[in-house]
Amino acid sequence: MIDVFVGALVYSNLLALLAVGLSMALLTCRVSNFAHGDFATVGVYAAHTASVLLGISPYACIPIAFIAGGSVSLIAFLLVFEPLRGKAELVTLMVVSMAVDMVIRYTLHVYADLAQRSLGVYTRQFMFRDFHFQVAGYTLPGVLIASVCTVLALLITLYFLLYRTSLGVAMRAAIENPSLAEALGVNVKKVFAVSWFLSGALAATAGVFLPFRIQVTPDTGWSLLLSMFASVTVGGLGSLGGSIVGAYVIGFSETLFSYVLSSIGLSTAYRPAVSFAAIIATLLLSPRGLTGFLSNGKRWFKWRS
Amino acid sequence: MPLLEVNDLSAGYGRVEIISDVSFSSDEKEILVVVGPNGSGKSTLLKALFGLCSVFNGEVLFRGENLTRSPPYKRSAKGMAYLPQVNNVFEGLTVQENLALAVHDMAQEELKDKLEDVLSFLPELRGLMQKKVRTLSGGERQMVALAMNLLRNPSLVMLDEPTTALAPRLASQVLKKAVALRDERGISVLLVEQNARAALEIGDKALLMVSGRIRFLGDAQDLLKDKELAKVYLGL
Ligand SMILES: Nc1ncnc2c1ncn2[C@@H]1O[C@H](COP(=O)(O)OP(=O)(O)O)[C@@H](O)[C@H]1O
Ligand SMILES: [Mg+2]
Repeated sequence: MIDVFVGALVYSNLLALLAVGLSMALLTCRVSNFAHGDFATVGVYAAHTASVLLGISPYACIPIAFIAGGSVSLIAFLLVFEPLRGKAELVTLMVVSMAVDMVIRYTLHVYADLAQRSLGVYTRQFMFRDFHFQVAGYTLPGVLIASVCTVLALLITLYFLLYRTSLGVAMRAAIENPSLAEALGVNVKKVFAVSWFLSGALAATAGVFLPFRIQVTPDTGWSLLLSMFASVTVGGLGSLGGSIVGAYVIGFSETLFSYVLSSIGLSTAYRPAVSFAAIIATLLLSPRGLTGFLSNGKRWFKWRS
Repeated sequence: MPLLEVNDLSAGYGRVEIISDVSFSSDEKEILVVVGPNGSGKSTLLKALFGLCSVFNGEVLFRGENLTRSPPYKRSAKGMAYLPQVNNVFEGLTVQENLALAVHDMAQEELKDKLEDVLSFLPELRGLMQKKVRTLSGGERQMVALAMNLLRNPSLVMLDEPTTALAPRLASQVLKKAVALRDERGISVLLVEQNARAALEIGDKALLMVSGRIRFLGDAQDLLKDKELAKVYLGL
């Protein structure tokens, strides 16, 4: 049972990093970014390559993955999403992001083949070797402590960036009303470029932790899209804090559900049902997600008292 | 050299041309009032001057420098300020954060003095600093919007119907601020107004827009006296 809990926590940590970035893309360019999962995969391969070439632990390669994922995301923003910002419709943007997904994903497939030949290591269906430590008689995987610390550090930094720095005020203002922010001297393109770099960098960081838990391929990040969208929807579209909460709700539900499935002898292939059900339930019951539900609750409470 | 010079400006949205062949200029310490029927392109003119819509032809010179193709944040840095007709404050931020945004790119040292200076011009804001803008009244929001623009040391402020949706007493207060901008601060004002009479009375020059073209350009008092134009287009 402790294994299930550890698995759920690690998985939720990764989802939190992914969902925050997905929300940032949505807030800045109004795009439901289907390429977001690929930024995580970029992190996987950046860490894998660096760790083989430099002979160091994949954990030590997090900064490299951070920069690689951030750069790919930044390029996607500058080449595709910035030119379309404020001009294209939501559906157009979504379809465009699917095209961006294919470009990145199939480039990763090519890269995986090339790397396999030149590095002489497996680049598909591989896993990273983890260390283990003992606490109170339990043997726990290193990825647990590593992911908890990384997520805390990154999310707290992000909070301070957004709420305690002038760049953060500019970012929040540009998200609320880009043309007014621009009129008040904010270089909106630059501010959004920073957001997109961070969004991709957070995803790539999550990516580094993936091969510690599952066998990865160039499609792994893409296959997490449904859970990411579920986290963002459950948390409330347009709320960074909400999508973090949503990530833990989805992460724990999914893990527990597949545990139940396997213990009653059913295939864990039904696991995605959790995300689908969560999206449908949210849209039916509280379209603005948990954030909307809570702020309605507050109003209801005020009205009563 | 005039502060603002506009030559043969044509602009609109997408490929649709809304204003055509607009030419005028405005000097330092001058209130230029822009009037005209609804939908005649007054807001579009201001947006075009600030780089917020498509410009098809013509040029915008500010202090002699051609800014026609500059992004809005650069125009802001050069000393132009623009208060949109709607959505001119950040609702999700506090008054303090709104003001902080306006000075986000400036040196820290002078900020305190500048803030004090702007608050002495708009004392209404003193008690509201920690409030979310979402909770303010229409008049208070206009003051926040004006304060944000003043913090940026503009030499030209463009106001798009700042008095709509305000009670008459508040409306005249806002127009008095426009006069004070010119007389106390030496700032030029480009004022778009529905309330034509009140605006023309405080204005130096006037520009009448009809269907995207200039119908009258000249002394504000002359437009007030022009029985025909005033009657047909301004309902005076
Ligand atoms: N964002 C926009 N996209 C397309 N057309 C617009 C837009 N804003 C205004 N228009 C059109 O431009 C014309 C002039 O509008 P506007 O400049 O707002 O006039 P005014 O401010 O004088 O009332 C109107 O016909 C209006 O429908
Ligand atoms: Mg208008």
